[in-house]
Amino acid sequence: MELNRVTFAYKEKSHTLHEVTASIEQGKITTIIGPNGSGKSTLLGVLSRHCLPQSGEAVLDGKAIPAYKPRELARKLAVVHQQNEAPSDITVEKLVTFGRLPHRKMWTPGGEEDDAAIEWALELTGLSGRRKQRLTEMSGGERQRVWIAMALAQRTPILFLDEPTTFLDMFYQYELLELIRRLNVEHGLTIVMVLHDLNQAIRYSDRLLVMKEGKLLLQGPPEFVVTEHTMKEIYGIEVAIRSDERTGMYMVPIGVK
Amino acid sequence: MRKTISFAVILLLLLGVTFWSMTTGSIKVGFIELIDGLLNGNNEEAAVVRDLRLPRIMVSMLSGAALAVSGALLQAVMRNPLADAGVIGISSGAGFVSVLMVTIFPAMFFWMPIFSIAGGVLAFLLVYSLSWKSGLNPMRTLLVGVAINATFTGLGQSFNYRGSYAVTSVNQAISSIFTMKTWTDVQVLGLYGSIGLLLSLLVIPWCNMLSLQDKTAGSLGLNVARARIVISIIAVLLASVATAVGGLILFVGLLIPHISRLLIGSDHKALIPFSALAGALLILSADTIGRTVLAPTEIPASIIMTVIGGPFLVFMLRKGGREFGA
Repeated sequence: MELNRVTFAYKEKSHTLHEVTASIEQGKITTIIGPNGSGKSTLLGVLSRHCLPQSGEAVLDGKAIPAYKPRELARKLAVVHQQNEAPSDITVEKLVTFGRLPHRKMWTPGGEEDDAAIEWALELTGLSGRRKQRLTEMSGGERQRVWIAMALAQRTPILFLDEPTTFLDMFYQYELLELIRRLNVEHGLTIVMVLHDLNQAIRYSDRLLVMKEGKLLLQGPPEFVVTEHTMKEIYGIEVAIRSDERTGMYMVPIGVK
Repeated sequence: MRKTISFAVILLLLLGVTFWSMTTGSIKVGFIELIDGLLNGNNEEAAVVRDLRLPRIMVSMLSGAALAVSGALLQAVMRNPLADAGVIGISSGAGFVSVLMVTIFPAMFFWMPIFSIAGGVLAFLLVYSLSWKSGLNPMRTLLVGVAINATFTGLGQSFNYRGSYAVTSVNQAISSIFTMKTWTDVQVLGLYGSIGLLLSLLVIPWCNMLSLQDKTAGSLGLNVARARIVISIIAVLLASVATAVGGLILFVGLLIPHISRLLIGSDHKALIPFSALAGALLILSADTIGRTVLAPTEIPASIIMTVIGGPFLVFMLRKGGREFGA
């Protein structure tokens, strides 16, 4: 995927993108980071057709994103949104079945391929045994896995996740990130996600895109992007960056000077 | 299982109330006598029932079904469990515009359903655009709808004080009394109503997708804006035609889908057909009770519905206070 000088503005001035040029590499985990209101989610929105840029273009497989029909794009790219709502009586299996809609005619019942995709998604997210359970009876982390399972059932080569770990307990955060890594390594999915936690971004990403005030400041591997100098530039904080064999590279904020 | 039982029970009830309604009232006829009279045409009482009571029964059922399904669709589109064509002014908009047009052009009486739909669309557009503030807040929508409803109801009622001949002939669109319904009414409502009900079945998958958030539905490949417009048009069509023929009845679209959801769940595949049956049952029962309890005086079904519906709305507001942003 490519982004060429993409500019986007809502009516309110706050979340804007300004001439963002970037590329998403196939088969990699790319994470978008940056302060609140820097345009992270908007960037994800432009890439997934939720926001149509005023100028510039986002291109997927040689075709501009807005030129895709919604269903066509939904077969290439699945999105897990930050906050989700569903009817209170819906079960895991029913919700995951929604993921097959881009592949199905409106009124035809699901075929073998649909069943296989649903099984695969449930299996990967560890929900096979809980398919009849209602979402309202599950914890936040489990519910997030159901939404991921729905996106996986779309069987797309690309998966987007908007702040998937926000609102989750530590255990579920890492459980989710491990799942995402597995999807990438074992199943070859191209992952693009927005993360808040920098150490998680460093640990689980191949590449980082750094947004600030609607502009793309930096892009590259974590070792290149996260330095004492850039952290000051981006977040205005003093950090120490360390690395050891067990943890890999990590960052500790020290102060705001 | 629960679904099957609910469907079976509602069908039996509907059948039972229909038989009861056919045989009771100012003329009482036995069921077998009635069927015999209807088939062979040798019974005067049966003829009266055929000309006066049967159309009334059909109109009650069709209006009830149309209004209930219209409510279910509106709730899906607005993501608002409180949306009801009557409460948010679609019905009164439909009623007012049709009364206005027929008063100005009395010869165009048979175009009334079309004028009604135009009025319904007008009211819906007003509610939708006036309550849109980067999204639809259920409570704001309801308040705007109540204001629009009051305006159109007032405008409609102002015709009552003109004291001309037109009033008596078009009054039905405002006050809703099912007496004097003819087979012509049944034809009009049957035609437009069936089209609306059939279309509502076609958009069931869209309604289900809209029950997730817009952005999720979009990610699943739904053209959200188009789905919204199509579903809204069907909902407005149903409510407007029901109003044009059956008159202004509030709360059916609020009460029925809510109870239906409790019984058979929120999947529109079951919800929409069930709402249609339950709506038909409710209005037919209300009308039949209304014309028998204090006979020979009649209580219009719309008044019975207002009396039941008001407290029900209060109940829903109390219960769902948090999620409706109150």
